[in-house]
Amino acid sequence: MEKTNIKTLLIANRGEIACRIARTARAMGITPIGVHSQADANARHVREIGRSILIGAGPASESYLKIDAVLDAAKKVGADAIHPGYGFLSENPEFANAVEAAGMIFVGPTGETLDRFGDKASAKEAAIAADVPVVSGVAGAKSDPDEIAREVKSMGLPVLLKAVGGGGGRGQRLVENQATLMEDIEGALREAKSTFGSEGLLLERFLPKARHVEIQIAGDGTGDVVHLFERDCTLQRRHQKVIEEAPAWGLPRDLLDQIAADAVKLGKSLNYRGLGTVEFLVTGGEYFFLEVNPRLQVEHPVTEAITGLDLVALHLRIAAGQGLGLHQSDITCTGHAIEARLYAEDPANQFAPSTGQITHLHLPDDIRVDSGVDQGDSVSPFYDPMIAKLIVHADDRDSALAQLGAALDHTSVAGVETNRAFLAALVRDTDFAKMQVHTRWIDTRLDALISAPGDADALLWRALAAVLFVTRDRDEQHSNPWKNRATFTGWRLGLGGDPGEAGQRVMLEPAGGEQIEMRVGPIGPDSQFTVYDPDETALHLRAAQIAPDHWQVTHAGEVRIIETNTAGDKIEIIAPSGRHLFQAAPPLAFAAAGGAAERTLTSPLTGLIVKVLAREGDAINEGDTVAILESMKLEISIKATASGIATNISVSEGAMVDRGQVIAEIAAIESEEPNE
Amino acid sequence: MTRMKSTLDTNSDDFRANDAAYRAKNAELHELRLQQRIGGPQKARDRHIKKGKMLPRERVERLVDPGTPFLELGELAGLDKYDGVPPGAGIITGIGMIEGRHCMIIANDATVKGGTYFGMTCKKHVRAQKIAWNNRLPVVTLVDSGGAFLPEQANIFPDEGQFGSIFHQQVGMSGDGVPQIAVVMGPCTAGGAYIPALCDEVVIVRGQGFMYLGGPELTFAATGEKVDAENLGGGKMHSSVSGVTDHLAEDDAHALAITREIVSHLGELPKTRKTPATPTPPAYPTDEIHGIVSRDIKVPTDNREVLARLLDDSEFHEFKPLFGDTLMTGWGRIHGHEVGILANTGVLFVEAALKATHFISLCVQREIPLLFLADVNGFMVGREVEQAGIAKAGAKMITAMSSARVPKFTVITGGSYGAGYLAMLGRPFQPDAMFAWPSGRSAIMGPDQAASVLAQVRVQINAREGTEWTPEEEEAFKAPIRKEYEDFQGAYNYASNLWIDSVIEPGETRDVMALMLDVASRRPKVETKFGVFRF
Repeated sequence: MEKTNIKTLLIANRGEIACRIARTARAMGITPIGVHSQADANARHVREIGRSILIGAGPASESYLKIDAVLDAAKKVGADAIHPGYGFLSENPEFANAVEAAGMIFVGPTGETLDRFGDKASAKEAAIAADVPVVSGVAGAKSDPDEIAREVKSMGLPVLLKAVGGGGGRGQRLVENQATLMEDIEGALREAKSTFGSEGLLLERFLPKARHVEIQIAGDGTGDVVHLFERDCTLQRRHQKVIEEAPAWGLPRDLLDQIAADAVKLGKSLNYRGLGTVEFLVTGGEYFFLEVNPRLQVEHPVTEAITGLDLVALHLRIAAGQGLGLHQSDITCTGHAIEARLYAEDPANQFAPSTGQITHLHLPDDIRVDSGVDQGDSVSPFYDPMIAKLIVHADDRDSALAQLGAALDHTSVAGVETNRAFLAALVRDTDFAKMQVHTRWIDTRLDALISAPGDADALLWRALAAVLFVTRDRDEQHSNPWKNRATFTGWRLGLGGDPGEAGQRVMLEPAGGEQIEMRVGPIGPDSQFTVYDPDETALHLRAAQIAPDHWQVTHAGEVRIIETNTAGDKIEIIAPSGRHLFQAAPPLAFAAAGGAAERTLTSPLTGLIVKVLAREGDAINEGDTVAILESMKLEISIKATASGIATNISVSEGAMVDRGQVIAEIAAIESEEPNE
Repeated sequence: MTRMKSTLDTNSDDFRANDAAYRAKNAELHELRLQQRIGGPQKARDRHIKKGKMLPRERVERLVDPGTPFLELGELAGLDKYDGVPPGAGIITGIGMIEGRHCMIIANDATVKGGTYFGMTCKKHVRAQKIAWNNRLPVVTLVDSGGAFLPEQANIFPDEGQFGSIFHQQVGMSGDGVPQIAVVMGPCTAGGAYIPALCDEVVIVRGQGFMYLGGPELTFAATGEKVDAENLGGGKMHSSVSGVTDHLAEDDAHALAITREIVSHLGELPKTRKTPATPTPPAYPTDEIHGIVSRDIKVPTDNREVLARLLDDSEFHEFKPLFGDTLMTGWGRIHGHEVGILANTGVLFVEAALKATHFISLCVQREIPLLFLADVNGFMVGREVEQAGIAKAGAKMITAMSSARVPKFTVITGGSYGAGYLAMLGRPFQPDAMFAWPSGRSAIMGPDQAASVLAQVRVQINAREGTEWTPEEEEAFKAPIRKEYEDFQGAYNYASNLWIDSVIEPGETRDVMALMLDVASRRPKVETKFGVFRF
């Protein structure tokens, strides 16, 4: 391979991975240049990379997946290489070939390799050819339902049906029951066709309690292939990895060595170039080849942590034809690393992506965090809603798990729903701690994980947030009693008796939670508070300020020193055990924002109706012009004062109207309830 | 400054007995306050809520800035006066912070007889206005009232201090630049319509607030015109046609939100003219006052021990400690606010009255507010003091006390009788605010004295008529008089008649005074013009 120097690198990706690649490129003296869609014009990767080319509209198919647009951008900036990141065009052989045809370097395997691993059947064939164990099944893809049914019956259930063009777990269907066999087969065939444009299904024995172990390999393209140890990605949900770690804890090293050797063997058999991941299922001392991901993986940081290598640098070095620059014996495994993927998604709503502006974002600052968004950025519906990857590295797995749990506790996001609490529940799960898990384990435990109580002190933090809100702008040692927090907060005469409903009400919205109205009862002596939730359950706490933004909180005999971060109505409680974010609003805030509008439209002047734009029954929005009046030589638009349905339109074009005469009414739309 | 020394024995039986007796009194106070806080009967409250309206206390709570104090005044006005009316006379008045500004809040309680005005309701409304006026506090009135309670005509209609005075004061306050805002949250008929109409800005709630001089029924009866309430005086009509109201709200919460916005645009906040010191608690717990105040009215209370528990760090710079020692005078601080204290330690003698005169004039000169802690049986009588000119000395004290235009406050802590009540800044001398502890009592004279005086008169008549009383007959004569005076002199009777603004616990005194002193420190200085002192 020809040695060269990459000077300008086009990063054909977005989000955290674009930022990640640019970091290393810059460190290597390579100028990174980004690309972006219209939706990403202000995205973090654009800001961070510093120069970026617009390649199309928001939908990925009109930008990040457009080969021509990406190539044009690369040519425009004079790039000598293109890094595709992961996803998008990273595994597209057509793209890889086009890049090379245009005289640039594709940072990744050859188009031929991509072609081979893009197809499950040929990937499996390659493995078999390299004498790597595969899951038993029927050789080659099948597309005749009856034939598939026969094969399945002869194999015995359960069987996994895999779409030939699928990957990353998509296009898989598990057949567990004879009764639904034909239904499953036909469904899988339909899905294979519609989603991946392929006709065929692979039939494989299903391994019910397997772990997912993958080997990171790197090849120079001339037959030198090394492995960078394994990663365990057993924690998956719907075949999407949730938590990844390295090394694979609890498996015998000799077994892992054997798996790694097989992965290297497979790579060598193909003169593999660049970074690749060979995925295996491991169960009871046996292992089986699954597929190859011929690209940089989302979870590459855990390998970087245990090996101390920069995988992106290695990738670029290989691409520049400079070889691996290291031998297998140079590569060591130190400690234990775990990564958790923080997503803007709603676990309570089947993990549906949660889009919108991230109004608050705090990510831990004492561990590695790869993030593609900042506070104030938006999660768009066009792309993967990942917020960040949290990566910890410790001496052993228990410490790493503990670190990750703490890191998740110290993460706070508002504006979008996240899987933070779900991840926190996962890393604290006792079965996971003992690695008594398998690739479908999350699904079997989903309800418990989602409804995990999480922070046992959640009620305390909520109550404290309410206290902090009603005591904000108040001063511990203020000589103005109307502002004095120590004595006068919520002060009322006669609080010696039953205070009844006394106290301050405050609406609180915890990040990722429901809005609730809390009531902070009268302050007692010595900064004692009683806070009531909507069920009138009382919680007693003492909150004494010890320094600006620092409080000593006493509850149920336990003292906690906490820090607070308040900005406007946003209250963040930073406890030793984690961060808790609340949005507070005085009970009248919502009223001030949206007083119902006038629903009767009247003529502002005497004049002639020259146009009526709304028709009876039209749905109209506030500000829409309903009619145009000509009066005093002016054309005056009569605009809707509210949104709703136009009714009682009592004028027609050419009609003379008096000042104050009713033009139309706007009926409220009856049901604006969400469709549930 | 000197820290007062306490010699109190909190382990004594006497202390414990006093303490227990006082706590029972406090419990009685809490009970009464709770009654007024609840408002009208359950049914009326349910109906009110069903209409989508907030209860008046909730309106107040939501109007004020979260976490800020609300200093309620006149909460026990009308206690036991009207059938079916809880203490408070159907109206809530008090000082609260809205958008960082102190305001007088006046809120009708429509759950109490439809929020109608009784005699005491009028008096309480007028009193709240007066406090607002004195302190230049914007007035926010939450109007939800059926107007006058007609059978009470004599106590609400013809005289000064009654309903009409509300309007008169509104005009006077407005002339002095005191902002007034009304929120029409219920019907305002006839005279009631003038309360909002005389305000600077008026908010009205659609479909809930109505304003008219004559309602639909009266209009029909008077003129034969048939018109519905909405067209006659509804929020929409008044906001768009008559211009009587300025802001149309959709519900209570919306109206209160608009009101808060209005208050946020009343111009720059008044600045305090005083720089208070850092507040410190008394060196001795305020709570111990309960064990100091004598449970037996024949045994005097050691007011020096009481004072040691009211002042910051118990520091008291006493003025003329060796002269006229039946009255303590001196300076101290309450929550950092400097205040001149006059507290009784016995009957007023010539020297005490002269000392008070001297002291008051010093406070006026130094612009230091005055606090009278009243516990006095009156001025001394007898040949000696008359010859010493006690009438002249008392007149000096009254002239100084009455003329002083620094903020001045009264707390009746014990018995406050006769001319002593008056000289210790009694109600007729218009204290900025006047409070009594549950142990406070006041009358022309004590029950025993009254019974004795009247019995003596009777004995003289008997002597003229040549008859004589048996001891039993004398007691039968005295007992009802004693009872009458006992009933009259209680703090709750004073509160019911609004002769005081509130009954407060000893433990609340510092807080109430601090809030009042801060409010008073923001009003412009008023020059004192002393009347003639007789020498």
